[in-house]
Amino acid sequence: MIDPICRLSLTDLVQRLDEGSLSAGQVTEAFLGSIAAQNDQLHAFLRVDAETARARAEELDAVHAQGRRAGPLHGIPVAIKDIMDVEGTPTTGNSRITITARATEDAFVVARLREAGAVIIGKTMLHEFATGGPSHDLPWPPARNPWNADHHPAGSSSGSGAAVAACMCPAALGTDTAGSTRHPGTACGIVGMKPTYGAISRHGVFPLAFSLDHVGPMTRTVADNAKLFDACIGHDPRDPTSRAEARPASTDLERSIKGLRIGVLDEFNRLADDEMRESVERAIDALRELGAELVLMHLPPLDAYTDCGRLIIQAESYAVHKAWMKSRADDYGWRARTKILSGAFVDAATYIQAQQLRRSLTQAFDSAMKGLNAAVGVSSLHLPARIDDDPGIDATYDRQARTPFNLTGSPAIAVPTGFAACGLPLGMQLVGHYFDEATICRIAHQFEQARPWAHRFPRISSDQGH
Amino acid sequence: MSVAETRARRSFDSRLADLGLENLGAHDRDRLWQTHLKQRKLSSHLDDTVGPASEPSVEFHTTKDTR
Repeated sequence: MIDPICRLSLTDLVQRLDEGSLSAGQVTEAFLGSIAAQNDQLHAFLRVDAETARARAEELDAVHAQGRRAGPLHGIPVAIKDIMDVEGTPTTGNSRITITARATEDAFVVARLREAGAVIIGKTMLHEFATGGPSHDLPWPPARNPWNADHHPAGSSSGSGAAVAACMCPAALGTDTAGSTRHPGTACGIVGMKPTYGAISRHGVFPLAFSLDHVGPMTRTVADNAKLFDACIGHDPRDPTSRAEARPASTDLERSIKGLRIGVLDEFNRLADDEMRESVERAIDALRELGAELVLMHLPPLDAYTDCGRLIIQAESYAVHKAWMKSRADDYGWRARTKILSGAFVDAATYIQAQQLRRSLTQAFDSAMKGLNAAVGVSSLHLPARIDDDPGIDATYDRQARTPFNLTGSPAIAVPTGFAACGLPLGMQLVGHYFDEATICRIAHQFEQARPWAHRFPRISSDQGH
Repeated sequence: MSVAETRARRSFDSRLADLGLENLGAHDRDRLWQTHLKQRKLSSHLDDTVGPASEPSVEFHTTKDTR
């Protein structure tokens, strides 16, 4: 049985923990129970630190008993994608080539969460080293989609997406190099944000491609996402890409979006499957009804962005794995091995040319955003394929509209827009100006108030719940 | 296979051998080859569309730590 506590939003949990109607111990125990009930089916977690989590919850309850609060996330269980260091535990990247057998310190972002009062509940499943696509030849089996376990939950933050959607934790961290927080966000019917490049430190996070990597929050509601983001930001001198300009995202959530000008990425939308496109078009109508002004915006073709991004990821990820590929190529799963090895065939001049192209593609986006508050468009072009359908995964996994904003470094948030006839979730993404996570969260939150989704739960957790 | 493709295939196989991966399985080798054909197309397109690399496109910062 899943405890009803697990269906509360992070925001509700914060309030109840604060007023004392729930204790950190009760909340932690409820989510540990939910994980125990569902993980054999969904494989969302590859490591659960039950005893450490219980001990931490006890400490936090002692703090509360003294009339104090550890921080804005006091007593909230948060799951961490297993590519980020958590002190005292292994970081595996879901690979036989374990990154570290025992991390000597927390990643900066994990330390920030602890300072905010979070309870680190465990490490979530991912595609090997955060490369794209599920694979069945890894140390742990791939996570499954809580809305239909025959399908993949997208990724590479696959476990974080599945865990949040199935109420196994109220919040999780993912990483996003070509859409890996937003893809599971859309596929699992939750909220996944890729912040501005540099807003959240990546110190202690194993890289996939350094110039495109972002850490991002994953939650069931927009308000929860903004709260988690706010706890994660802060300048980190040990990450050379970390920036001090990051501002909280939860400040303007209740403000109307009347009068905001939002660009519509119509050329991207037209590439999506009918159900996906129509769902986003209905969401755009809802934004218009809320008083926003929707205007068409024009960008270079989507392929120009995705091809450019792919070359950069190939070259940068191979640079990370070059030594291991020489000595331990057989220890990789086939998907990661072939994706990463492809970078061995990108020459230095081509990589530099791709970065030059990236600059002009970014300028095109920046200039299209002038006079606009945000942009809206599809996130995925297709629904997630069946998890055992390799040709289907190959044909659909990399066709998406998220990579452009890894290239530009702009903040982007994926939010649910409804469900396909087959029962899998649909979604859109909102894109903002640099370090203006507050505006995209405001728009997304207002949309959520008009077209709520967080009261719907996957059948898997419903069957075992109430 | 065209002459250009045969030459590309030879250079592809030789690069794999340099990496010590001459015995890579057929499935992986085929996927890598398909990706490489696409890379060649993209690289050639970049030659046509991107000007000379006269400005830094990847940011570099000094450490400011010389004392």
